[in-house]
Amino acid sequence: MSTTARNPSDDAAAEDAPGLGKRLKIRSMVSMAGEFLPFFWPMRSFIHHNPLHGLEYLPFEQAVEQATRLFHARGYLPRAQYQRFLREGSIDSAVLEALVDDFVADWRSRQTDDVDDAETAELRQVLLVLLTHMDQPTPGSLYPSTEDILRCLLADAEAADNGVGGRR
Amino acid sequence: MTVVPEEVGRELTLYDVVDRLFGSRIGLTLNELLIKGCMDFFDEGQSVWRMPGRKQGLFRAWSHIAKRNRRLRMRGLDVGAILARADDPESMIHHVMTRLQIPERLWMDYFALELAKLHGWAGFVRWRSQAHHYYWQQRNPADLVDFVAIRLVLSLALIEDAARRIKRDFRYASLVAFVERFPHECLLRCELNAGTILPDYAHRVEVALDSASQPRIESLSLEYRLEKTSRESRTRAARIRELYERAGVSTAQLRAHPPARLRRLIDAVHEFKAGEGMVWTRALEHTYMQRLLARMAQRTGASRAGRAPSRPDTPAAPATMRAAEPANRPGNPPDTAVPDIEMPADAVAGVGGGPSAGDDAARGEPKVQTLFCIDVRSERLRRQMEALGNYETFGIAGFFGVPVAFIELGKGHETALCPAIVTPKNVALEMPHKHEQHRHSLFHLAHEVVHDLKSTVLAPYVTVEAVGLLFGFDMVGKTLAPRAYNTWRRKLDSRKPPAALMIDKITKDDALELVANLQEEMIVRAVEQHFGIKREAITNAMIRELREIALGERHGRSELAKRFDVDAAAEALFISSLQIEYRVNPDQAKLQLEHLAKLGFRIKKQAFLIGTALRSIGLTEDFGRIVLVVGHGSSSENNPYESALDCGACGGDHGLVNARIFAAMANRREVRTLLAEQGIAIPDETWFVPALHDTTTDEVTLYDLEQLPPGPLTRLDRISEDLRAAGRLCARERCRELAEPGITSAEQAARRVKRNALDWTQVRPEWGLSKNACFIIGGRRLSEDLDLDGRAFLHSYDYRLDEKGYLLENILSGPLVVGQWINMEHYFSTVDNENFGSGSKVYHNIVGRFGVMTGNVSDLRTGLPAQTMLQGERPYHQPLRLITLIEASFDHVMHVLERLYKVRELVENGWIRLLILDPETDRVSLYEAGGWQTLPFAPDPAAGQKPPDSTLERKVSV
Repeated sequence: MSTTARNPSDDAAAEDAPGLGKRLKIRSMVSMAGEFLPFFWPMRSFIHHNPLHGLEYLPFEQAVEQATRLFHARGYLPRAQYQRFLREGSIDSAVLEALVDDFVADWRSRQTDDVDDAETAELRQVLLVLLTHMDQPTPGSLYPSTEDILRCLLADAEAADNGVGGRR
Repeated sequence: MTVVPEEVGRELTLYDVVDRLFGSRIGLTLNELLIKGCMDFFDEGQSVWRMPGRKQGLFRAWSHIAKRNRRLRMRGLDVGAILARADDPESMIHHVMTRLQIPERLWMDYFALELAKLHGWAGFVRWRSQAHHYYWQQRNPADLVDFVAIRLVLSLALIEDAARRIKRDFRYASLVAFVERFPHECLLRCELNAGTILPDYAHRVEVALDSASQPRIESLSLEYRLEKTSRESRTRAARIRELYERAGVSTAQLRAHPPARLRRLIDAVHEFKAGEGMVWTRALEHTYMQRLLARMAQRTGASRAGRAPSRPDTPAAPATMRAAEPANRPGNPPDTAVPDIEMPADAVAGVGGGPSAGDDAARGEPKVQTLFCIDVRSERLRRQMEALGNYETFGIAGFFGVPVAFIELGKGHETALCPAIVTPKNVALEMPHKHEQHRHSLFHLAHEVVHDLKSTVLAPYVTVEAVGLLFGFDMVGKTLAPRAYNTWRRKLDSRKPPAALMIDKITKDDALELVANLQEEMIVRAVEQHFGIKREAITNAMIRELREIALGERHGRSELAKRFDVDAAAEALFISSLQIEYRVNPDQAKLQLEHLAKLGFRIKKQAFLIGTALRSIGLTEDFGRIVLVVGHGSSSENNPYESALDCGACGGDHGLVNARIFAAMANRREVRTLLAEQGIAIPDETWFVPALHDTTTDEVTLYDLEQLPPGPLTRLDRISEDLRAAGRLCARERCRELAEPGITSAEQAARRVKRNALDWTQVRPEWGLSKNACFIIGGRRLSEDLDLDGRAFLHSYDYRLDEKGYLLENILSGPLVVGQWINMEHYFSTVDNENFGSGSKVYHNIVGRFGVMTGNVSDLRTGLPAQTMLQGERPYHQPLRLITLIEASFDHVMHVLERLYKVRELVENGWIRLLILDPETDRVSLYEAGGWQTLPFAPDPAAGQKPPDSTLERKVSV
C-alpha cells in the first residue's frame, strides 16, 4: 500500500459524465437497494409498521438474522428477560421442555455417530439448564474451534479433579 | 474482530474500514452532517429559518448551500470542488463511486449499506418519494437518489480528508490490497480501535503499530491471536463445565465421556444457542395459544351445555344463534355463568338507579348493539359492557369499512381515514350546521371561508389560495405564513361551529356552477388587487366576461378595460395573472371538477359499504333499536406519540369521523331500501348512533344526537350511564396495569386516568396496544365472558354468511395486515428499543414537525418509545408474533388464502401464527414448520365447573 496519497481528482477529471442510460441504471439500483427500508410516516399520523417489512419475503427467523446484520440490532430479548416470563408464568415450562425435546430429537436424527439415549438425555438436561439457569450470554460464537474448547474443557476438568481449581 | 477483503463494499463501507483500521470517526461525522442537512430541507414549518431553493429538490437545494458552507470548509472538507463535478444526483453518485474506485458489481450493496446507516431518515425519504399527494413532497421533492448522493459526496470529502491527514490512499482498490496484504496489522488495528483488545496487550500493540515493522507486527499478531483464542476457549469451556455441573453431571463423569461425545455436545450447545431466541419466542407463543384454546374450549363447552347447540351446520339462522349466545347475562341459568368477571359493587351501584341487565332482559328491553374497533383496547370495554347489561358487541376495523379522505372544517387538507394500505377514493367534507338546509351549496361554504380570511392579516394573498380549501389542496398558511396561519386556525377552531358531514355526491350541474362561482369570486378579488376597483363598481356581466376570456372561451377587449380605461398591455397582463396566479384557467377548472367528483358517496356506494360491513361482522338481522358505532382515539398532552395511540385502521387518527359517516349512511332511508333488497332489513325504529371511545380515560361520548328523533334519545341517557359504569370498570383494570398506587375503587380509578390524560408531564398516559398478542376472527361466542386482558384484536365474522370468502378476504388483507404491522412494531420496539424503537421519551425532540430525534442530532426515531414498551428496565410487552385464530371451516380458509398472496406469505414465513378453528369438526389447525398440525380442542360441557387451565394438556407438536 502506498503511503503517499495521490490526488484522486486527477483520475476523476478524466471520467466521462454518465449518459441517460447509466443515470437511469443508477436510479434503479438505489431504488432496489432501498427496498429493505421500512416506510416512516410523519408522526402526525403515526402508522404502526413492521420495521422488517422489506424482509417479509424471508422466513421470520432468517429476516431477523439479516436485520441483525443490516441494522446492527438484536432480534430477541436477552435470556434473562425470557427467564422472567418463565418465572411469572407467561411461559409454560412444559412448553419450553417440549421445544427442547424437539430440538434434541432433530439433533439426534442428524448424527452420523451412534448416539445413545443417555447422551440424548444429558444434552436435553444441559440445554434446559442453559435456558433456565444460566443468565450470561453463554457460550458465544464459535470463534475458538470446538477442538480448542474441548481441550480447555478437559484440562479444566482434570485440574478441578486434581483440586487445582480449574475454572478461570 | 478484523476486516476481511470480501467484506469491503458488501458489509462495510470504505469509511467503515478506515474507521476500524485507523480510529477515525468518519461515519459519525458523516451522519451528523447529513442529519443537519435533512433537518433544514425537510422542515415543515418548525424552523424560523427556511432553507432556500427547496423546490429544486433535496440534492440540489443541499448542494446549493453546501457549496458555500463555511462550516464544512473549516473542517477541511472540499465539498464545493466535488459538487462542481456534477449537477444531478445520479451523475454525482457515478462520480463518487468511480472516484473511490468501487467496482460497479458492488454498487447496489454499497447503496444499501449507506441507506442502512440512518434508516429512520432514509425510511422517511423513501415513504415521501412515493407519497405523491403529500403536500411537502409536492412542494419540496426528495428521493433516495438525492439522499444517497449527499451521503456519498460527504463520505468522499471525509475519506479524502482522512487520506490527506493519515497520508494513505483509501480508495477501494488500495484499501482492499492493504487488507489482503497485511491481515496481521488489520487484526491488531481493529482490536485496538474497537476497544476489544486484551488490556495487557494494548501498549505492546500500539508500540508495534507505531514501529511500522511488519515482522514485529506479524509476530505480535500471532501471539495475540493465540492468546485471545485461548482465553475465549477457556471461558467457553468453563461455561460448558458449569452447565454440566448445574445439570447434575459431575466433573468426574464429564471426564469419563469420550471426546467425541463432548465434541458433539459442544457443537449441539452452540447450534441450539444460535436459535435460542426463536425457542423462547415460540415458547411464549405456544403457551399463549394453549391457554387461549383451553379457555375457548371451556367456554364453548359451557355454552353448549347451557343451551341448544348452535353449530353452524344446524339449520338455525345466524340471528337465532346470536340471540341464543349470551351465556353469562343475568337471567340466564346460573350454571352457565363464568365467574371471572370483575364487577365491583361500587362501580355498578347507583348506575341507572339500580341493577340494569337483568331488569332489561326481564322487561324485554330491546338489546343495544355496539360496533367497536378491533383494537385490543376495545376488548375490556366490550367485556365490561356485556357483563353490565343487555349489550351485544361486535368488532370491526375502526374505519368501519368506509375508507375516506376527510376535510375538517377550517383545515385545508385531506386526511386519509383508513388503513395505510388503502387509498381512499371518496372525500367527505365537514360543514357548519347552518348550511344544512342547502347541503349541496359548497359555494356558500367557500364564501364563508373567504369571508373569514378577509378579516385576517393574511388577506389578500391567502384569500386567493383559501378557496382551494374546498378541494383538498393543502396549501394555505402552512407555507406562506405558518405561524400566522396557525394562529388564525386556532382562532377558527376555538369558535368552530357544530359541524355536519357532507357525504352525498353533488350533481354535475352543481359542480359546474360551483366552479364558475369560485372563479368569479377570484376575479372580483383580482380586479380589486390589480386595479383597486371595488365590487360595487363592476357588474356581474363584466365578471362573467372576464371569466370567459380567462378560460379562452371569448376573445377581444373586455368591458372592464373599456369602462376603466385599461390599456391593452395592462389588460393582457391582468388576464395572464388571472390564469396563472388566480388559477382561472381550463386546466384548473378541470382539476377542480375532478376533485369535486370525489366528494361524497353515491347512495349505491353507501349501501354497498354499509352492507359489506354488516355482513362481514355477521350482523344482518335482529337489529336492536340502538346500534352504537364506536370509534376510538386517545387524549394526552405534550405527547408526540399521541397518534400512535389513536386508531391504526383510521391511518393513526381518531375513528369518530368514520363512525359518524357510517351512522349517517346507515340511518338513510334510501340506503336502507337498497340494503333491504340485499336481504338486510334494518327496521325503521333502529338508529345508528356514532360515539368516540377515549382509550386514555375509557370514556365514551355519543355524537350527532341532534339528528335523532325523541324516542331513541330517551334510551340514550340510560346507555350513557351504562357506558360510564363500564368505563369506570375499565379504568380500574387500566390502573392495575399502569401500577397506579392507592386505587381502591372504580371511581377513583376513573379520576386517576382522567388526570393522567391531562397531565403534560405524563410519559405514559396509557399502555396503548402494548401486550397485543392475538387476533380472533369469528363469533363473539368464542371469547365472550373470557377476560382477554386487553390483548386481543377481535373481529366479528360468521363464515356461514360468506360463501365465497370475499368478506374473509377483506378482513385478512386489511385489518389483519394492519394488526400484523402493529404487532411487529411492538415486537421489535421491545426486543431492541434503541434500534427499532425510539428510546426514552425523556430525550426526545420534535424535528421539523414530522418526526422525533433523540437529543439534538440523531437518526429519526421510527418505533415506539421505551415508556410504551418497558416497565422500568423490564419489557412490559411480550414479544410474540400475532396469533391469529379464524373460526371457519378449514377448507373455507384455505380457499381464501389461496387468493391472498401477501397474507399467505406472512403465514408461510412465520410472521403470523395462524390457527384455524373449524367449528364443524371442533378441530384446531396450526400452521407450523411448513405444514398444518392439529392442536387439541375439546369443548367440555362440564368445563364450567373447572378452573380455567385444568383442561390443559401439552400435546403440541412443533
